[in-house]
Amino acid sequence: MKLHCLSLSNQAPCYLLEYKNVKILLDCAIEISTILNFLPKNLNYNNNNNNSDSGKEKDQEFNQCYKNINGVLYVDNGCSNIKYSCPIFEMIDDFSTIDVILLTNYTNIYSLPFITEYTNFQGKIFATEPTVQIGKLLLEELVQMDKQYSNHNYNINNNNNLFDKWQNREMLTKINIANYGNENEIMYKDSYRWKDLYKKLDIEKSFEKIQTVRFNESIYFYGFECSAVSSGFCLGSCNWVIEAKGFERMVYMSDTSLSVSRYPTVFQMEPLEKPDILILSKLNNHPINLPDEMFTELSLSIGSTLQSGGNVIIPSYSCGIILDLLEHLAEYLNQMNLASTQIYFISSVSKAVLSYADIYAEWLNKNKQERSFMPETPFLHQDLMKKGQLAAFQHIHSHFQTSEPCIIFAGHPSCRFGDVTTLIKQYGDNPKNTVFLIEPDFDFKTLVLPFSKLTCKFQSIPIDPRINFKDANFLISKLAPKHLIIPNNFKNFIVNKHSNGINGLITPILPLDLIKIKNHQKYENGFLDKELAQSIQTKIIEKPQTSLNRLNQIKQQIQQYQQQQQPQLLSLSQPLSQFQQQQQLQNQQQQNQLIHVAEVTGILSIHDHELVISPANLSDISKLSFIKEKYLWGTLSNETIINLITSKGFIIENIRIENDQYEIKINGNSNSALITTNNPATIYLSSNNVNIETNCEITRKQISDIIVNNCNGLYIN
Amino acid sequence: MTIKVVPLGAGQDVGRSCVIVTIGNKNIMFDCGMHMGYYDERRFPDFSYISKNKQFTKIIDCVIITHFHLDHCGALPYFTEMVGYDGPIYMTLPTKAITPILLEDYRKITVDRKGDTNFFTPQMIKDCMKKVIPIDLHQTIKVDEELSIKAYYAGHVLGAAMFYAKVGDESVVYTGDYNMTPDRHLGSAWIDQVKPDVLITETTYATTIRDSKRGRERDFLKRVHECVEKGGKVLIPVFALGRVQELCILIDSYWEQMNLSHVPIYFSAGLAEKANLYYKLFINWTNQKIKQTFVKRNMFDFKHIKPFQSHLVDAPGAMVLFATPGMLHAGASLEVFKKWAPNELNMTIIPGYCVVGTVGNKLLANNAGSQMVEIDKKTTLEVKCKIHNLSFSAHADAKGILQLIKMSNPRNVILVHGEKEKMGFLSQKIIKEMGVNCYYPANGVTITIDTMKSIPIDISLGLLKKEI
Repeated sequence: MKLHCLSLSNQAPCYLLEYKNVKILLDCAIEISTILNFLPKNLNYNNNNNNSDSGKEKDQEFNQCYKNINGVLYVDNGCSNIKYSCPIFEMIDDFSTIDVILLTNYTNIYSLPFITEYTNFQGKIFATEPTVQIGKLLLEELVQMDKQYSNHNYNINNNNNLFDKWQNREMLTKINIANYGNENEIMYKDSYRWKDLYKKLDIEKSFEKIQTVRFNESIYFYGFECSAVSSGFCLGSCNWVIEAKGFERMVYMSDTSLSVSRYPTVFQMEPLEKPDILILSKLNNHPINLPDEMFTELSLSIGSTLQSGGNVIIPSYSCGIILDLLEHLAEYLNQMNLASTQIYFISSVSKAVLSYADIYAEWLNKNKQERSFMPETPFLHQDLMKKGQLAAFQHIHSHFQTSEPCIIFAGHPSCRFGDVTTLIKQYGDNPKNTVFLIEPDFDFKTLVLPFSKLTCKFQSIPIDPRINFKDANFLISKLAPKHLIIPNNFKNFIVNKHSNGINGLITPILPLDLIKIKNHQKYENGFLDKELAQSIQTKIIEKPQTSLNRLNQIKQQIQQYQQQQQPQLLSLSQPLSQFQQQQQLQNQQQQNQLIHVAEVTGILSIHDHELVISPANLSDISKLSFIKEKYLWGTLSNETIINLITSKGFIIENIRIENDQYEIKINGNSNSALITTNNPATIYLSSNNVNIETNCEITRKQISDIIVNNCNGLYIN
Repeated sequence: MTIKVVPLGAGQDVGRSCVIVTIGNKNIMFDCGMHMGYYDERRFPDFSYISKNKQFTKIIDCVIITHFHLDHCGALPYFTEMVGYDGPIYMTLPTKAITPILLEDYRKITVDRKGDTNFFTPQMIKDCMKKVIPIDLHQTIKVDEELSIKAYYAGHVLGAAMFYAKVGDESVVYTGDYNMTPDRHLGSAWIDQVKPDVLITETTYATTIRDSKRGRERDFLKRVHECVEKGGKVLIPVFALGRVQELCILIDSYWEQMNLSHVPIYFSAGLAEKANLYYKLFINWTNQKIKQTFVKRNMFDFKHIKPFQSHLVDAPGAMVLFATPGMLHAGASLEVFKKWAPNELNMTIIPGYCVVGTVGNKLLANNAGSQMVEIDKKTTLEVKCKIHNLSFSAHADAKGILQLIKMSNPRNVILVHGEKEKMGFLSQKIIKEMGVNCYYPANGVTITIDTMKSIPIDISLGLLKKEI
């Protein structure tokens, strides 16, 4: 199995999983935090009275493209549209080789239209119903906000020949040369590859290609069985269980929340337990802040702002934590006798989000679900709107009049575009007003610096319901993955320690890393036709007891944790292969048991990734030639063989053990003069294979006899 | 290995659906319905067939309810609360939400009006529903280590589902009631090609090939329009949930289009608004068109349809009334029918199926001008109003049934929930056209089916590399 990390940070997950020749892309997010590098719409930064730029860079062009605010460089809003940082798709040579995309939730799908509409990807895409419906709304909203930003820029700068020039490599290297500091260098490190957003039509076409699934619906493709399991983070958010039929179970986990009091269906654990591989991606971005405490702090702060006569602006996404907040805030305001405070939800998709939330009984927690049985709407939004406490608006019209004091939710949470920029402009000059930054995706300092001239307050209260390191370690201990894969920057915080005291393997993965996990698969699942099975006549042979030496014991323990080897892919271009097959059926019972052995002749065929051995019909039989030979089976006991070789007089010079393979060097035989130091032999022994290297045919025969006689065997007559 | 199927109800009959399937060592009960034509012990399936000493929980591994119609779920509280089954029960979310309401509605009619005493109580309905585990469409639930079930959209009523049950490599599909053509508010049934060993399908319309839906809708609207134009009253007996929502969408938009707002449309009180709210909340279970437009306007917010008040039954002038229950066997629809039936200006449109023994069934059986109809043992009524039966009930017709067989590709087909003669005809057709075995057992008759299943084996990779 190969896992390729295409994401630049663990906040924007994107992995390529390659297993059994099937390529599965896991999530395709956009690194949304890079929007902060652009100056907000509606904010004109005058070059001259700019925060004194200690004259590091005298370059006129540079100063026009970039604005230096307190040492942080921003791309001037007159100089560029907003550019977006996708996963490193450049690493994928040919998108048509990707078979499947699995999406976890609507925060991780922002790059999807880039794949479906701008590459030759032709595979299947799976996501839950809310991920598709809400995701589409959110992407469309982003496109709309992005378009407004561009139009606005175009109108004021339609003659700007510096447009987009900031992104030139030449210009970007100036950041490093002029020594603007490490932070700026990191901020712009790969900005040359940021690109313009897709169009609304792209979203339309892209989302038509997604196949929707429900929680715990088994879907099948190319010999895999997958299912989406609730992750408890947002509407329809899921973790994926990916199972190669009969072999390894992999779990891909992103954005999980253990909270049981929020609106989404709670996190479901059982289907994820005991995976062979657990890929852990996005976790809490503010691991120290507990969501419940943050929420209390937010309520209190909002209360005090309102009581002092100020208004509250909350830049937020149009779906997500806002659905918790609307209900809780209304309740809090009632308790605080602030019920007359108007709550506004301004977003082009506000009405749609609130309507959808109410019809998602299947995707909500138990309490909300039971409200639909009454029947009542699961959320209180409609009631709040009827009472006049909550109002949803598509956007801010010229005649938009708020009744103050008020709480206004609006996007985009980066405060770079969207109606929130208009609101900040409108409310920014009153020190009583407060802007609360609740979305965890953005760095507070970088976000607020461009607003430093405004007198209103900015307060950071990030509410992130995702699991933090402590929760993650707890979960891992319960799930007990054999092998855990984590983003490299989690490696000091996450351990793979199971609740039964055993430690699993753990592999950190860096952006662009390609890790390979070996396995030792020996068998493929198949089926034996019932008719054929009935004709089987078995022979019974007693299995010799094998003693395990200490090395073998250790080897077994290691094996428990080692992954199975790269399985062989069966080509579909050969749907039917005829052959004569002699299969030894081993019917192993407990210790010291009897073995039933039989020969089976049949036709092996593969259809829909299912191997079947069926009886040969007359015409097939004529083509099959029957070979009578001795078949060997069983496991070689290395210790026994070494003992036998020694007892025959061979002188063992040296034994090397490497990767389960014994390399035995023989140098002479005390019973025979045939083998001399000039004529040595080397035996390579592994559990299912033996190689004997020697120039002396007699030695080869002797050693081979020892091994053959030590194996179980059967002559077919 | 074998699969055994025995209908305890709905074997060569419509009503009290209840089919016991044995796969491996697992026993599954599909549906647990009541028969609305009977008021004695025959209204419930004969559970003593399962166990003489009421060891139901031991024997039955799970009960699966396909939809909220009483002939599919009506005996459930009796089975769980009165005879003592205590194992898992599965239904979809809308079914779980709506079933208790219909049960309570029916309980009221049976106990309060008919004075029946040996019947379940409101508390029993509540206790019973608490035990229900909701299953989502396409969700695969592992009932235990061996038995897993999966639900598919059936389209018959809101929340109706077909179920695929699998034990090891043997599997069964039970359709419940389903509809293969999308209508004004629901989509059509759909299932994967699951290749079950046995497909158990309903056959309500085993021999009918229905004319186009559009035609029937036009016919319905034309008749209603003609009647109200002459000042007549139109009574449409319906069940509170299901077909009526489709008819309301139909008639509401027609009224809008034809400017008929002077003629009132009523919905008999109680359930009306609540029922519509279920449709609004479970909009994901309706059809694509309604889902896409619901943010702008929810189709179940009717403009012209108002709640009915009992004094309006004597009000003069034209009106349209949707009244429950649908088979005219009790309740508001029967009360209103008694008053309106003697007037030839009026009309009664029965949009669904009526089981034997109900007034609705008697009316339809003798559909020729005026007739004397026995309402109950004491009352006979002269019916002069026009009677029409417009089949709107959303069952698959013969074509649809064959379509589903093709879609799921079963090895054997068993017909239930239909009339014996029609089943006989259809089974011949299935055997001939599909080349699969087909059975239609009577109640209590066991069908045993042999399954030829492959045996799972491990094939060594070395061998595969050599040979493929």
